[in-house]
Formats: sequence, structure tokens, C-alpha cells
Amino acid sequence: MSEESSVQPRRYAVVGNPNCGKTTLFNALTGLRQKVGNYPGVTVEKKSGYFIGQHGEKIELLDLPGSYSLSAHAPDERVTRNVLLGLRSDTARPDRVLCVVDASHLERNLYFITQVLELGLPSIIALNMVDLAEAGGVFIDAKKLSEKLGVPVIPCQAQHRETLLPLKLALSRAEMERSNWALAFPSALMRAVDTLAALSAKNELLSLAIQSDENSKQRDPLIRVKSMLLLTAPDVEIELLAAELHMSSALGVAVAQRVMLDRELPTWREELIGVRYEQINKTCQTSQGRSTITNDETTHRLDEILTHPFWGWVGFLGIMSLMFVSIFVVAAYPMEWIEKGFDLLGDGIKGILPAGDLRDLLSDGVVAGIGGVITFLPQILVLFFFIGLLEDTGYMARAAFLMDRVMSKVGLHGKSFIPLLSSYACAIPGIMATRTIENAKDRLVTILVAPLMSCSARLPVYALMIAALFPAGAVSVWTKGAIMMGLYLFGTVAALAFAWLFKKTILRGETPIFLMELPPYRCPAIKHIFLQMFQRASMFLKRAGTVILGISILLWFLASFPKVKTESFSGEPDKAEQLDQSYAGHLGHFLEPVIAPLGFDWKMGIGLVAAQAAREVFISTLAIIYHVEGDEKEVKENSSFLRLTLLKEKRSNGLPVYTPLTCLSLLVFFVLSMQCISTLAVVRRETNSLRWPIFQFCYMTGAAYLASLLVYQGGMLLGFH
Amino acid sequence: MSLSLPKPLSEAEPGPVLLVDRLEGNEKLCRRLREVGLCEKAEIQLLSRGGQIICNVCGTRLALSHDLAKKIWVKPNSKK
Repeated sequence: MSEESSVQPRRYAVVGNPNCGKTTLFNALTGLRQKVGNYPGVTVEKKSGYFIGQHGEKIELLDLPGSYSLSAHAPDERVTRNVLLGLRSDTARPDRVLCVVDASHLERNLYFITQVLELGLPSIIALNMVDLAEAGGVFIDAKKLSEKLGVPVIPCQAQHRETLLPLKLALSRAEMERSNWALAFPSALMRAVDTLAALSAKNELLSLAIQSDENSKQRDPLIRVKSMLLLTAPDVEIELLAAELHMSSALGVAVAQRVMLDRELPTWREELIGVRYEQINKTCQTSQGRSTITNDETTHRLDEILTHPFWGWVGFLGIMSLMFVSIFVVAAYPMEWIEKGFDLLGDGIKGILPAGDLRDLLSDGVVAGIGGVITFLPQILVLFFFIGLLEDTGYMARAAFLMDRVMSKVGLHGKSFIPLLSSYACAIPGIMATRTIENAKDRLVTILVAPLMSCSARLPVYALMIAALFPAGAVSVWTKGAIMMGLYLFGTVAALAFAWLFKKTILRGETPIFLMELPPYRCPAIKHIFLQMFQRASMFLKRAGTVILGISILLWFLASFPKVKTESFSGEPDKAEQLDQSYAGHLGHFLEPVIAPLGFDWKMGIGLVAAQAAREVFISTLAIIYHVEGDEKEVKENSSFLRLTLLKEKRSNGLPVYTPLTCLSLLVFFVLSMQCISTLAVVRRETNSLRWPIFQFCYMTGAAYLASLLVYQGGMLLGFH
Repeated sequence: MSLSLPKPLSEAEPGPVLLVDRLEGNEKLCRRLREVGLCEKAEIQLLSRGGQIICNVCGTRLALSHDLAKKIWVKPNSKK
């Protein structure tokens, strides 16, 4: 291809409000498989992809976090603003912008989009969800809207790929318009912006940092937008913002202009926003076939129930109960199959390979270790399915709405509930979802307590311990589900209690104002939910394949060496003796005095040490320890070998190890303790300091130890074993 | 012209379209409210009033706390 365009790909930034279908459109265009959600905070990662345009050229898309305004109230919005302004050193400023607009909420969406158009970059507007808008009685004349905004406006439906061809054609065009959209501010305000922009332009020309290839067509609007942002920053933020915008040298002039404006036009702050909305309102009225106040009947009816002070809670608790019971009922069958499959595999290996270390490594280390964890995959899938469903239907925002009454009691925003609920699946996406929380202290508190929410890695431990507490058939699945829910509740209450404590002490601050958008209810796209489930499951399996496999092999080695010299009568080394004398055994015995007051023995100590890397490793560790030790015949005869072995375990004094009290103490320990290296790494990245992850590890482990101590010693005093 | 005086959104009746009269609170909060569409002279419709408030602004459903609603003063829409 001789065309210049094929050499240099076009780089579009994809921008829009949260919930406008931006990520869906991005996925449909690039074919890149990603997570799609309906609540704020899903698209916080830097995501880019490309597609091949109509003339064979490469067209790059950069999916920026959803934003409501260039003023950027939350960290994720700041990323969007800074990329668009070319302020991030890690991301080059895009050459073009693809603005995604939800046609059923045109007016609201245009607030941010007109701000973006004013940046002077060549832009295209994708008018998304036209079908939903039309169903709601809103007909938009794309041609008229395009005339008003000065850029192409292309109707589409991101969920239906066949509607995207016109958009793809438009994106492939070599030449593109810059918007002629301009705000008609009162003259005093206009003068202030001009003065500040002129000064900044001069400063920038003088500084060496200026890029020579930027022509004035691009630079002038950029400087005007930056000047306007600086001019309107609240007093408390203006200095910081000036530094962020590289405009510190213009700070004095900006402050002087504000003083002048306060005198000349006391209402300038409201004008600045009001004028934009007025102009948008006019634009909408000329291009839209209905009044701007629209009501989605279905959403309204549903919200009357689901946000009701009483029925809302009934619905919320119902949905949560259904979720936790499903985890047990639905997942029970595939779990059995997987368990059987791994047993067959282990037997197969034993049949094929000659006796020796290799055979033991494969069957006792690898198969037992990984199998123990993968068995819980169905439960994790069910959990992910529900979380995806809640996100996709728009219910998640209602849950945040309801929970705000609880969250505000501990000094947090209702929005903090969304990261906390995601943490039920995994604390890592949960912590990343805190990027939509505006206040830095509230965000930090949410990050600190998020790992207390019981994540899916704890699920295997809970399931095994509950099974050990109640032998098969002793109690119904419903009771087991209720206990499981109790554990989740305990973690949740602990998270709230610690949040309250932190807000009162080390991270003192006022309860934030509650203001959030409730997106319309939408029919969930099952395809997307399954896609998400698949992605999350593969992440889990990858962990099983890497971290857990590694730890399994290491543990097998630690538990099998050094080899015991003394031989028993049968000619085989005594297995119990072997574990006792192994490296792992030494480690466990070393720890025993510390954990004995919690009711744990040295074998559990080995498991706890291994679980510091990742909680679910505890299961594989126990599986390996007991496989190494166990009688091979027993392994063959019992599919739920681990559960039965646990029940048969005896202490040196002949009493069983896994008494109900010990199981309970262990459960409490797992609910509260911080055993996940990956989470600590993410906290380190998100807080940009080592102090917070270390603090988090210490307070959680400390709390876990104390709580378990209380449970075990208290239980003993009350006469339980 | 209606004679009704402005009152806080927290005390308004659900149903009719209202106009935002003025905002209370600091600079930062006011800018925030204006940016979501709750600027002076904007149309707003109260939808429900429980512990928190749901209203319709610019065709979107906004949820806000009771305390916040006290800071938004509204008056009947006299334009219609």
C-alpha cells in the first residue's frame, strides 16, 4: 500500500459517560474480548485495540475510562482528562476522538462530549443505543445534530455488529472535521478565559518543552480548555491543578482573574456550567423529537420496588440469598464429576508409572494439589455469573443506593459497596473498582477493608471446613448455604467495622455526599456475562496452573524430603514418620507453639504458611500432606478422601484434630486474615506506597489471630472441644 | 404565576417538574451539582422520597442523600 495512512496508524481515543455502551462498542469494533459492565468503574484499565479500516489501514482505539466531566472528580476521570490533554507521559495524546453518546440520554451525555469537542481534535460521534431511545419515544435527527456540533454523528447499536458498518467507514476516513462548537459565554467570562489563554500560550512558546510539530490549530483550543479548567477549579484545588496542567506559571493570573470575575459577574461560576447546559438543551431540542425530560416506564416501575425503603431490602436480601444457595446447589454436580475425574487421573498415573519419586510427585503433588483447587471451579463460576448478571442488568447501582444507608453510618459512600461486592469474587478487581471513588481517604479506607470481603479463594476452604464440620447427609444443603452466608456476613460486618474504625482514627474525614446516577435497567446480554465468566475462570485456572502448581511441587518436596532412613515392617518407610521428619514437618513444628492456642496443629501450620501466598493453596497443601501420609488403598476407595481423612485425624492424645471448634476457629481465621500476595501487590500499586499494604497485612493477620484465639479459648472455657 | 416559595428538594412533592432555584454549600459541591445538571434554572422532577431521594435530571435518574437534597432549593416550574 502506497498510502501514507497505512504507514502511520490513526489513533482514536474512545470517550463517553459511564453506562453509554462505550466498552461494548470498543469490543465490537476491535473484537478484543473484554469485561463489560453497567456500573461505574468497570473500565478503569488502559485498554487499547485496533481494527483494519476500509482501505486496509490500521486504526487504533484507546478505550478511556467513562467520565462525566473534564473537571475530573475521581481518579479514573483524571486519567481520561490527562490523556486527552496530552499530560500523561505513558500515553501519547490521541490524534482523533471517537465520542460515544447514549441516544436515550443525549443531554446528559453532551455535557462531557461538548467539553471534548472543544479540545479541537478531529472527532466523530457514535450515537449509540438508538434502538432504546426510539423505543422510549426519543427520535434524534443525526443530520441536524451533526450540523449543530460540527462533526459527523453516526447512529449505531453497539450490541448489533451489523449496524456498525457506517461507523467503521467514518472512522476510516483520511480527513476529518474539527468541531466548530463554541460556547457563548458572557463577555466578562470570555475576556478572563482569553487573557489566561494568551498568557499560557506565551509561556508555553517560551518553554523548551513545547513540541514543534503541534500546529496552532491544535494548540490554541487545548490551551483554552486548560485555561478554563484552571479558572473554574475550586479554591482548595487550584494550585494542584495548575501543577498538573503544567500551568503553575499562570496561577497568579488565574487567581487575579477570578477575583475580577467575582466583582464583575458574581454568578460566573453558575454561568460557566449553566451556559453549556442551555446551549446543549437548545441543540437537543432542534434535533430531538421529544421533550428533554424522559421517563423510562419499566425502570421507574422496577425502581419503585427495588429502591423502596422496605421492599428494596427484601429484594436485596432475596437476591443475595439466592446467589449463595445457588453456589451450593447448582455447583454440587459438576464438582462431583471433577473430583472423580481427578481421582481417575491419579489412579491412572499410579498404574502407568513405576513406583518412585516421579510417580509420587505426579500423583501426590501435581494431581492432588491442582485437583483439590479445580474442584471448586464450578462454585466460582456461579459466583461470577451472578456478579456479571447484577452488573449487566443495572441492579448493582441499586444495591449501592440501598447500601448507602449502611455505608454512610460507617462514613463511606454507597459507591464503596460496589468494590466491596466485587471483592466477593476477588479483591483485585474490587480494589481496582475503587478508582471511581472521589475522595482519596474514602478510597483508601475501601481498599484497606476490601480483602475482608470473602473472596472466591476462601470458598474452597469454607466448603471443605463446612464439610468437615458436618459429615455427608447430616444437615441439608440449605443449612450449609446458611452457614456459608453467615461467614460472608461475618466478613462483611468486619469490613464495615474496620472502615468505621479507620474513618474515626487514621483516615479521619466527613461522610461523603451521596450522589450517583442510576442507569436504566437493561436486559442482560448473556453472551457478555458468559464471556466474563470465561475470562475470570481462565484467570483462576492460570493461577492454578502457575502459582498453585509451583507451590504444590515445592510442598510435595518439602513434605517428602529428607527421606527417613528407618523402615517399617512392610519395607516401606512409615508415612507419618516421614512427614514428621520432613522439612515441612520441621516448619510446622516450629510454628506449633504460636498457633496451638488457636486449636491448630503442626500440619495446619504447614498449610497456613503455604496459604500466605494464596488462600486456596491451603486445600492443596492439606491434600498433599494427607496424600503423602495416607494409605493408598484408602485413596482409591474414597472419592472424598480429603474430607474423610480430616475427620479421622487424631492428635497425639488420641482426640480428633478437626473438632467443630477447631474448624470454626480455622474458618474465623480465614475470614479475617490477609493471605494473598497478588492483592498486596495491587494495593501497593494503587496506593503507591509500601506502607499501606504492610499495614493491611498486619492489621488483618492480627485481627484473625485474636479472633481465632477468642473463639477457641472461649469455646474451650464453655466446654466445647 | 405560582406564589409558591422556593423550598429544599428534600421537602418537595414527587411528580411535577420543578426548577432549581439556588444551591447551598461550598464551591466544590456546587460545581459538582451543576455539572450533573442540577444548575440554577434547570428542570428537575422528584421521583421518590424515601431515606434517599431519586430525581430525574436531564433524562437521567439521579440518586442523592437526604442531606444533599436539603441544599438544593427548588420552585415550581412557572414556564409551563
